[in-house]
Amino acid sequence: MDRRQLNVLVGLAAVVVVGLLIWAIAAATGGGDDQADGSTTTGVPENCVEVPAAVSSEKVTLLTDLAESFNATEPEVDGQCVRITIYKTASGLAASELVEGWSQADTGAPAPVLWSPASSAWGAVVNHRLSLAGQAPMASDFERIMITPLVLAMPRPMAEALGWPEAEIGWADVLSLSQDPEGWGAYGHPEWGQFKLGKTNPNFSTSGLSATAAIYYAATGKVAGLTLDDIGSSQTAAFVRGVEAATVHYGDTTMTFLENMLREDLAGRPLSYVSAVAIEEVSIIAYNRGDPGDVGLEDPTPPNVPLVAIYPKEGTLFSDNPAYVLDASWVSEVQRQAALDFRSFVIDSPENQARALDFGFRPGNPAVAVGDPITTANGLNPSQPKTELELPDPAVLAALVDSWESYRKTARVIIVFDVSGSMGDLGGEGYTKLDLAKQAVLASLDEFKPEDEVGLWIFSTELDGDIDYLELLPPTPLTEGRARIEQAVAGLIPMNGTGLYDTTRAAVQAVRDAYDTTKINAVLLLTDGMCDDYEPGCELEPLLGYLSSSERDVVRVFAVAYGADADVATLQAITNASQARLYKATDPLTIERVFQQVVSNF
Amino acid sequence: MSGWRAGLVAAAVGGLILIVGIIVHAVGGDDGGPGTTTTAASGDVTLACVPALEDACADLGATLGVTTRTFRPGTDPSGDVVVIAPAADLPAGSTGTLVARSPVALAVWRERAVVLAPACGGTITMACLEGAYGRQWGDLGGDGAWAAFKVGLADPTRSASAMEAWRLVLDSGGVPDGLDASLRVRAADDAALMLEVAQFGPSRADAVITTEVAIAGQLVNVWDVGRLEVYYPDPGPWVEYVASARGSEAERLVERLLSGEIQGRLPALGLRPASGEATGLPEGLGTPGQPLAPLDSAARDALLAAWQDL
Repeated sequence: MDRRQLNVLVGLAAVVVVGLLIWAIAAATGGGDDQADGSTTTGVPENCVEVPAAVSSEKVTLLTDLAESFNATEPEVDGQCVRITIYKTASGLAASELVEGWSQADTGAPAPVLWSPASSAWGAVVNHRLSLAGQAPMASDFERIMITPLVLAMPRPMAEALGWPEAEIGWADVLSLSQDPEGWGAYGHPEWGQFKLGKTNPNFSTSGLSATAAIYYAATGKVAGLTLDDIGSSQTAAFVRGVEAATVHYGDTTMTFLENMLREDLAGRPLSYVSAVAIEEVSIIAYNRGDPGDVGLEDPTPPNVPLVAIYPKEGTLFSDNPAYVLDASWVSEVQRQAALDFRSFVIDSPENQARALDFGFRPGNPAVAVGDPITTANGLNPSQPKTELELPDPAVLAALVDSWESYRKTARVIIVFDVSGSMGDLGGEGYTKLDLAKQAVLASLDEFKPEDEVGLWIFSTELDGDIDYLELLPPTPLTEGRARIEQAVAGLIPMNGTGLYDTTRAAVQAVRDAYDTTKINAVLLLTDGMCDDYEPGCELEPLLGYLSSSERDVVRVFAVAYGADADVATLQAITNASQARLYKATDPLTIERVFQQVVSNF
Repeated sequence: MSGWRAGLVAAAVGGLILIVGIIVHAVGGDDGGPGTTTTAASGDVTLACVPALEDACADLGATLGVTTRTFRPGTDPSGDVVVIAPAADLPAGSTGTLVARSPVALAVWRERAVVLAPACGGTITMACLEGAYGRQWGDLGGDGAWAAFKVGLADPTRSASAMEAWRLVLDSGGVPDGLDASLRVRAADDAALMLEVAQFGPSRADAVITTEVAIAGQLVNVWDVGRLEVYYPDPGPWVEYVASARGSEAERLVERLLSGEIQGRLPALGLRPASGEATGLPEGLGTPGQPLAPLDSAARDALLAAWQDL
C-alpha cells in the first residue's frame, strides 16, 4: 500500500472522526518546524514520581518557570516524592493523541497527567470524541489558569488615525476602510496606502477561527445565536468578502505576522506590512517587548512603533487556557494529587498568578487584579472587551467555515518545485524525496479553492539551455488547471543541480508582471538543497534586494526547506525579504503536513 | 465536508458541550479536587461545604482546627464529617441543623445598573430584568457596544440554591419572554457562576441571580473590571444551609458551629447566621427582602420542567 492509499483509508476511517482537523491544527499550532517538542523542565530524581504536563506553546515558558518553583519546594504526596515536568505540546496534537492513544514518539512527551491547551474547547473536543467511541470523558476537571481576548492589533499611529483610544472601532470600520478607494488617504495618510489585514486561516488557527466567527457576527449585528440563514445571507456574504479582501495572506500561526511586522519595523518600515492583525491580547505585549515569540529573548529590541489593541465594538472571543487533571487510565492517584497540588500552586497563589500577569495574560484567579502590563499605557484596556461573542453551534460553525472558503481572498500562486538530482535520494519508507514531495503537492490541491489560480514551475539547472526553470503551467484557475498539474507532477523526475536564485527571481518576476491587487500574489518554493548554479551564479544579496523592492506590494515567497540538506539560512533570508515565512520539513516524511501548512497562507 | 471542517464541527461541539464538562466536573469525586482546602486539623472530623461556601468554610476550618473540603450535591462523603449544604442537597436520608442562611440576590454591573434603574423606580428588580430580556443595550438606553442584554444562572438541576434563584426568575406566567436569548451563562453551581463573572467581567453577563454568599465571594475581586451592585427582591427566596453530622466528633463540631463565636463570624464571610440577623457584612451587601415560603415538590417539578424546556 502506498502512502496515498493509506491516506485514503485513514480518511475513510475518519468519516465522523475529527482527527484530520485535530492533526492539522496540531501541525499548525506546532509551528512550521517538524522538530519534536520536548521537556522544558529539568530532570526528575530517581526516587521521584514524574508528573508530566502537556502545555500549549504560548504559556510554556510561564509554566516551566512555575514548575521549577513548585519542584523546588520538594513536593510529596503521601510521603512519595513527586516532580512536575512540562512538555510543550500543541493543543490539537494533544487532543488527538488523548483520544487515539498517546504516542511519545509523535509528541516527544510521555502521556500527560495535567493538560493545558489554549482553550477549554479542546477538552470538550476530546470528551466529545471519546463519547462517540463509547468512552468516558477524560478532560472534565479543569480550572482556568489565565485568559486573553482576541483583539485587532494595530500600529499605534494607524489606530490613532481611526480615533483610538476614544472611538469604538470594529469590523465594520475595517470593511469601510478596506473598500475605500482612497485607503488610508481617507484618514489623511495616503502614504500608508491601502488598508491591509493580517488574519490566520480558520482551518488551522484558533485565532483565525475566532476572528472569522467575529466577522460573521459583525455582519449580522448579533452577539449570539448565529444561524445558517445568517451565514447564507447576501448581506453576510458581502460583509465577509469585503473584510477578507483586505487580507494580505492567511497562514497557520499569528507568529508569521508578528515576526514580519517586527522585522519591517526594525528596518524602518513600521507601517508597510499590515495595518491590523487579529491576534490575542497577550501577543501584543510580547510584540511590544520585542519578543513576539515570547521565548524570553535576553536582549530583545522593542519595535519603534508599538501595537495597540482594538477590542472590536461588535464583541470578541476569549482563549481561556484551562488546566485539566486528566481522568485517564495511566494516571495514578499519587500523580493525580500532585497535579492538583501544582494546579492549586499556579492558580490559587496570588504571587504565581501575578507571574501570569507578567507574561501578559489576564489572571484566572479573580483575586489577582488585572494590572500591569495590561494597561492603557501599553495600548491595552483591562475594562474591555465589553461584549463576549458566543461560539456558534456546530452546524453553523461548519457552514461558516465552508462559506469562508468561498468568501476568502483568492490566491494567485506559482508552485516552484525543485527537481534537482538530490530529490532522487531516499526520503523514508522506501520513497524518494521527490515521490513524497509529489504526493504532498497533489494532496495540497484540495486546500485551494476552485477560483484560486495555481501555476507550476520546476527547476534544476540548465533545463532549457542556460535557463534553470521550466513553466509547466502559468497561474490558472484550479478548475481548469488541476488535471494538468496532476499530470505534470506525476511525470517529474530528478535531474541536475539547484538553480535556486535565478529561478526564485524569475518566478517572482512572473507574478509581478501580472500582479492582481484583488488576489494574494505569491510564490511557493520547495527545495532540498542550496544554490549550486554556475551560470548565472549564486549571489544572494541582489536577489534579496529584488525581493524586498517593489512599486506594489511585495510578492511573498513562502519557502519549504525540504530534507536535511536544505539551505535553511538562505531560504530564511528569502522569506524574510519577501515578508513571508519559511517552513521546515527536515524529515521528508513530514512534507505533506508541512505543505498543507504552507498552503494555509492562501 | 473535509476532515478539517469536520474537526471544526467537533470543536464547536466541544465548545457547546463545555457545560457537560462542567457538570461532569461538578459530580466528580467528593474527596478532593478543585476547591479543596486543607487546614491544620485538630481531630479526624472534616468540614465539607458546597462550592459557594468554600471560602467561608476555609476560614471556619482554620478557626476550628479542622480539615475542610468541597461537598458536591449528589455525592455521599464518608468518614467523620460535617456537611454544610441546603437540606435538599444532602445525601439521601440525611438531616441537618440550620447553621447559616443566604438570600438570593441580583448582582448587576454598576455601569449597566444605572442605565436600567431609572425606568425601574430607581432600583433593579426582577421585573426590571424581565423588561431587558432579549433586548439590545442600545435600545435600553445603554452603550451599543454592550450589545444584547445577558444574564447568568447556575443550573437548578444541580443544586437547591440554584433552584431558588431559578424560582425567582420564573414569574407566575412561566419563562419570561426573551429569557432564552438573554441567558448566556449556565454554570454548574453558584461559585462557578460568580467565578465566570469575575473572570470575564461584564462581557459575559450583565446581571446574575444567585445567592448573596456566592456574590460576596467575588465582590472584592471585580473592582478592576467594574463594580457589582447587589439588589434584593422583596419578598425573595432564602437558601438555608444546614449542618449534617456523621460521627460523634462531627456532632460536637455542629455544636461549635452554632456557638456565638462562630455565628458572629459568619457575616464577615458573606453568610448570615441561623437567626438571619447580621451585622458586619462585607461592603456592598444590603438588606434582603422577606423570605418566600419554602418550595413544595410540585412547584419544584414545575420549575425543573421549565428549565429543561428552555
